Amino acid sequence: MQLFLRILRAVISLWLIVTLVFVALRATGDPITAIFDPDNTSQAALDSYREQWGYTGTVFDQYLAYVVSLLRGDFGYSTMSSRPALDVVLERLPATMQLVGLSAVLMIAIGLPVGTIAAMRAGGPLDRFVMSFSTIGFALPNFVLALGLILLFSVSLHLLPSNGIGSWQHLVMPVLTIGLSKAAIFTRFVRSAILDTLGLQCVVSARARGLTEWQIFWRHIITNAVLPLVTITPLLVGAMVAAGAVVESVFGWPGVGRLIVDAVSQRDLAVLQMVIMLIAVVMITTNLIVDLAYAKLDPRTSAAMAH
Amino acid sequence: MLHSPSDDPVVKVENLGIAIAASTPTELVKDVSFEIRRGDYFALVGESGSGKSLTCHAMMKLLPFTPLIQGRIIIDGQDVWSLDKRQLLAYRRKSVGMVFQDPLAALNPVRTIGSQILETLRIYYPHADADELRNRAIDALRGVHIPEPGSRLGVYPHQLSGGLNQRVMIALALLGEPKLLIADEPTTALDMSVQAEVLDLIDELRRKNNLTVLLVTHDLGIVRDRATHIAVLQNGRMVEQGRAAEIVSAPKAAYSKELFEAASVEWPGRDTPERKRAPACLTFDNVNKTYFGSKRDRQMGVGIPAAKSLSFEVRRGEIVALIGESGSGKTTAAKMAMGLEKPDSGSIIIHQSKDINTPLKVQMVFQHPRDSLDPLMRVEDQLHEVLMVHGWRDKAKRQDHILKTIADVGLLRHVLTRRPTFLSGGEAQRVVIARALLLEPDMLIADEPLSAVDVRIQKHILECLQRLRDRLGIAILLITHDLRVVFEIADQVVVLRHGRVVEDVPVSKFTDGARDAYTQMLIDAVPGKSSRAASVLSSGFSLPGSPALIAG
Repeated sequence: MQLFLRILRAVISLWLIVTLVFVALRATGDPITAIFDPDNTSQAALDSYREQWGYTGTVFDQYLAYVVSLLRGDFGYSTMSSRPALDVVLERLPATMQLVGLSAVLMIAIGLPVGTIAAMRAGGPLDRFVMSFSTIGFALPNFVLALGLILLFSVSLHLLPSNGIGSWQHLVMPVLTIGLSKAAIFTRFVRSAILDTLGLQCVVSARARGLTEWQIFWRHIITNAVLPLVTITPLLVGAMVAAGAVVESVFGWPGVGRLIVDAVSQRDLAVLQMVIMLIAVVMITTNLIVDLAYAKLDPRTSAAMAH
Repeated sequence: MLHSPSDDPVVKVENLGIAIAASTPTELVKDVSFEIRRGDYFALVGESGSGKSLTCHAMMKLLPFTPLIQGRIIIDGQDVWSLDKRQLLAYRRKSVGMVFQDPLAALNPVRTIGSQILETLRIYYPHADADELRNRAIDALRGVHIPEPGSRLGVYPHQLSGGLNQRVMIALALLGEPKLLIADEPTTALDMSVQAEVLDLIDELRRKNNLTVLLVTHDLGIVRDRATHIAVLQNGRMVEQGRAAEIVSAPKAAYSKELFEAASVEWPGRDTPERKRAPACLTFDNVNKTYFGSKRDRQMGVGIPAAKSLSFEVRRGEIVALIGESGSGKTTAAKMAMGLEKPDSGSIIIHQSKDINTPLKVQMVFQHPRDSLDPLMRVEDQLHEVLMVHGWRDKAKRQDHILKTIADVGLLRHVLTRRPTFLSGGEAQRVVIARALLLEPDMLIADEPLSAVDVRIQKHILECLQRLRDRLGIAILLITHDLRVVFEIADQVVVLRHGRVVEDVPVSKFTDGARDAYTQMLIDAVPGKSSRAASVLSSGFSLPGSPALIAG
C-alpha cells in the first residue's frame, strides 16, 4: 500500500515534469522558425516540416499528440541527426554514468573520512583547515577548476589528455573536477551530521557502559549520522549530472551533459525532452529507493507500535 | 590501616572542583566532598545549575567538555581522573553503572533493544555463544520486571513506554554487576505513577544485589523516604549533607529548608470551606475525539480515543486541575478548549459574560516558557507587540498596562528590558503568564506550566496563579501530572484516563480514600505522601515514612 502510493507519486511527478518540459520549450518560440530562416524558406517547406515533426494545430493538440506518442514509446526524432531521440540520448548515457558514478565514489571516499575526522577534532587546526578548504572547493566554479587542471596536468606537465574519451587517463580530470567540488559540500554535511551525533545521549550512555570508542563509532555514531546523509546524497548526485553540462563541454566528454548544451543551442526539442525526462526518471527512481532505504535505516519512520 | 571491607567507602570525593578551561576559568563546582559507603542510598539534591549532574558525570569521566579538575574522585579504589584509557574502560565496565534522565535518548533509536543489550553482554562474556547471550539478555530484562522479555529484544526503543525504556537502561547499567549505580534524574521524564515504580525497582535491586546507589535529583520528595544519606548542592557548592533522617527532620542550611518546604505536600484538609458555586465559564458537554494512525485505521474505526463523552465545567474564579498521565487526553482537551482542535462530536461552550453579551476571553500558557518567548526580542517589546496587534495605539497607555500586569504576576520592572535568555525559568514562565494576562482574559488554560521549572520556582508560580484567582477572579484550567500542585492550589479536580473523566470532585474530598482505583493509584504514587500523617507537625516538615530503610 505504502509502496503503491510512493510509486503513484513518482508517476505524477514524472507527468508534471513532462508537461513542464513541453510548456517551457513551446514558450520560447516557434521551433521551426528557430531552425529555418523564415525569410529564405518557402511556406510550403516550413509547413511540411511542421507536419513531419508534429508542430501542427493548437498548443493543446500538440500537447495531446506529444503525450500520446510518449505513452506509445515514441519519443520523436532528433532534428540534428534525424535519428530517434531515444537512441541519440541512450548512446550518450554510459559515458555520463561512468563520469557521475566515479565522481560519486570520489565524493564519498573523500567526504566521509575527512568530514568524520574534522568532526572528531571540531574546532581544532585540522578542522579549520578542512573547513576553509571546503569553502574554497564549493566557491570555485567548475569550469575554473577544470581549466586549472588542464593547465596543470595537460599544458605544463603533459601527463593527461585534455580532451576526449577512451582511456582511464581521459577520465581523471573530469572526475576530479566534479568529485572534488561535490566532496567539498559533502564533507560539510558529514561533519555536521557526525557532530550532531557526537552529542547524543545514547553515545554518552554507550561510553558509560564501557564500549570502546571504535564500537561506539561504528554502532552508535555512524548508525545515526548516516540518516541525514542518505537524504542528501541523491541530491548531490543529481547536481553532478547538472554540473556535467559544463564539465563535459570543457573536457569534450561525449556525455548527456554536453548533449543538453548542443540540443539547446540547436533547438533540438525531441532530444532535449528526452534528456530531461531521462534525468527525471533517474532522479525520481533514486529518491524512491532512498525513501525505502530510509525506512529500513530509521525504524521510527515506520509507525507500527509493538505491544 | 585495616578496614573491614564493608567499612571502606565505595565513593570518596575529595574537594572536587570542576571548571571550564579558559583564560579565566569558569568554576561550576567547587570544593565538593562526600563519601558513600557500601550499601548506602545517597541522594545528591539541588536545582538545575547546582552542579549535581556535573558531579556525577565527572565521576564517570563523561563531561561534555574538557574541564579543569581539582581534588580527587576515588571510586572502588580507583582515582577516576588519573586512569589511563584502558583502566577507564575497565572502570566503567566493572565498577559503576549509570542511568540517565531521558531513557529514550539514552538508547540508540535506530537499533533494537536486544542488539544493544547483546553488544554490552559481549563485553562481559566474550566467549559466550549466541544462545547463551540471548538467555542472559532475557534474564537481565526479567530482573528488572519487564513482561515478556523475550519478545522485547527485537523491539526499538520508540516502541516502548518511558517506564519500560528506563527499566531497560537499568538492566543495561547492571549487566556488569557493578558495585555502584549512578542514577541521574532517572524519573524526571516519567509520569508520577511510573516514577514510583522505577524508584521501587531501584530499591528492590539495591536490597537484592547489595548495591550502592547514588541518586541525583531536584526533587527532595522522591528521596526523603528512600535515601539513607542526603547531600544538598547549591551553585556548585555543598550546602549540607548527612543522614537522611537528620536532614529531613531538621535541615540546617536555609537553602535546604527552602527545598524541603517546596517539596512538602500539604494534604488538603477536609474542612476547607466549599466555595460558593460561581457561574460557569467553560463547559465541555459530551465531547468525543478520536485520533487515527492512518486512513485505514479511520475506516476500520480503530483509533486512539483522546476524549470519550468528556464532560466537565470550569467556573469563574476557580482553579480546575485536569490530571492524568501522558496519553490520557489532557492536552487534547486544552487544545479543543482553545479551538486548536475540533471535537468529533459534542460541544465546548465558552460562556457569555453577564452584563455584556460577549464571550469570555480565554488565553493559553504553555509548558516550556523559553520556547514560547522570542529569544531575540526584549520582554518589553514582546509585551508591547501583543497589545499593538490588538489595537492599543497609545504607547503610554500600553506601558501603564504592562507595568500593572507585570506587578500582578509578581515580577519587578527590570525584567522588561531583558531578553528571555537572561531570565530564570520562573521569571520566563511568569512573563508568559503576564503576556496572556495583557488582554485581560477571564480564563487561563495552563498546560503543564510547572514541569519545566525547579521546585523552588514552582512555588512562586503557584503563588502567582493563586493571586490571579483570588484578586482578579480569573478561572484557570490547570493541566498537570503532579498531584502535589493540585493539592496546593486547585479547587476542583478532574481526573482523565484514556480520554474519560474518571473523577470530578472538589479537592477537599479528593483524598478521602473512597476514590476510583486509578485515582487511588495516582494518590499512592505521590512522593513523600507520608507527610500526610506528619502534617500536624508544627515545623511543617515531615518525617520519612519507613525508618527501616533509613537504618539500612
